[in-house]
Amino acid sequence: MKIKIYSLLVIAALFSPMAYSEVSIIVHPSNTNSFSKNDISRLFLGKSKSFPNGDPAIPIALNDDTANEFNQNLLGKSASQLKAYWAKLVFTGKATPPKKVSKVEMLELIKNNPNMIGYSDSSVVFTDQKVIGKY
Amino acid sequence: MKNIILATLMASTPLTAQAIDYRVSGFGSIIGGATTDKENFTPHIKYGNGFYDQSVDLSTETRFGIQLTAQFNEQFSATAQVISRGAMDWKPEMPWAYVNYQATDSLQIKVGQMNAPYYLFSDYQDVGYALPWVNAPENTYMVPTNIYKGINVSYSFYTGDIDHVVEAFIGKVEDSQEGFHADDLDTDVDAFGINITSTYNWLTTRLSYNEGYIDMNNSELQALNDGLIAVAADPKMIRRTSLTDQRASFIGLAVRADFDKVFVIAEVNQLDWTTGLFATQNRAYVSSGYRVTEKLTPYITLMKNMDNDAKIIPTGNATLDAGLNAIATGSTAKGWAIGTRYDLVSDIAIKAEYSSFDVDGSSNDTNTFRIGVDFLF
Repeated sequence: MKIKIYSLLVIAALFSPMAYSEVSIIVHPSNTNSFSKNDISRLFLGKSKSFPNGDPAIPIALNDDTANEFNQNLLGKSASQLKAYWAKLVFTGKATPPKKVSKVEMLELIKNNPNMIGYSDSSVVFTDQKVIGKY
Repeated sequence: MKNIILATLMASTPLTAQAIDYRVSGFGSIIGGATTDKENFTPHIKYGNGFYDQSVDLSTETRFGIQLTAQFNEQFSATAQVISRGAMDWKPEMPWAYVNYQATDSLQIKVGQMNAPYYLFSDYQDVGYALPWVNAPENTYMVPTNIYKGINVSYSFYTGDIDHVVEAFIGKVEDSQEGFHADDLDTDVDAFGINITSTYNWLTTRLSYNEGYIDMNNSELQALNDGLIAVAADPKMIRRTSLTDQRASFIGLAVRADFDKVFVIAEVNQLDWTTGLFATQNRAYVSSGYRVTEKLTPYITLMKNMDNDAKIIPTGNATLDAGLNAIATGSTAKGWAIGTRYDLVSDIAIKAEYSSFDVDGSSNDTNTFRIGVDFLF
């Protein structure tokens, strides 16, 4: 019996989205843009400053471990690679990195500002945010 | 603190930002090194009188920088960066002090004092943390950093999945080398340049063209030049190498391929003097690194100098011709370096490098060991 429960748990863990830390990209519910993976990564790397429809965009980053998942899955960079990437942009005045906030703050910001784009781990039930992609 | 950030973010949509937003960022590199043989190693640091010899030296390449940016609104910002270097006896200099006008999403116009963007790493050569090596390969970065006063325009666009940035600048580089022999050596260069950087996923290419018109003002050099004209039977050559309006051009080609585990960077640069007195300097390196883990990135670099000697028109004075020919002879040399970067924590990287450089015709190789710490704050 114990073994059965244990194996069920293992199977559940294998199939649950948490097992591979999926990241959901979120925007304000009124945002009607459609985004490719490249569009999202351009915004978060400071290469583009507006949404596909031309509205100004403000990317917001997380200050927890989900950020590492996002950086790896979407931007394809490790933490120190991303640091070095931003160091060269900051010290040449080309761009500044997205502000970092907590998950609670992230959800609050995205809910209230149509110009913002952020992300969260996919375990959250997004009631006031719109999910535009999962990576 | 967090609540303040949150409140600021909530209050400032991009269309209605009012308060001036200040940002302070800093960087530094502490580098120590020594040569393992008699030959000294002199990195090309602006004005630097620092070099490495057989005793350990901690000041030649060590530097600290701090940058303040004030964002007035969506369009205007002002940036100032101050650097203090060991090679300059820590006397602060200001390589960057400019006003930035973000005309559109893709058009940026900067006016003020900036570093000339000759090389792939020119813009952030001082920010050791952003470099994969202890420093940019010595032989290829042959023109020391030039700070110019002028205008810099950059325009970014993309074609399909390829991002491009075109950058152009025009300005004046004014230098004064105090106590060049007895008198100060004042140089005044009218410079301009254009470069295009294209990035496709793992591949970055950069092509750069720059020109400078150099005036030098120094009583001793002037006296020397006048003296040479006097002793030369045919002073044509000397007249061509007068101290004003000397044209130099610089072409740079760079390629960077960045994969998951492996990176390869190569630059080929040429510095050419129209006067024909100085050798045309052809310099190149290729460097490759391997990310063994997220933290450990060893690298190997190969360097080569293939200068073309300038052709001296005989002046009719044998001693003078010998002197001119010595100046006109370029360097043919090759070298290699092995080193590693280790990311200690997210803002601190440790690096170590051993390099060996062999100049044709010189009896000693230059062998240097350097270890450094790069950080951001």
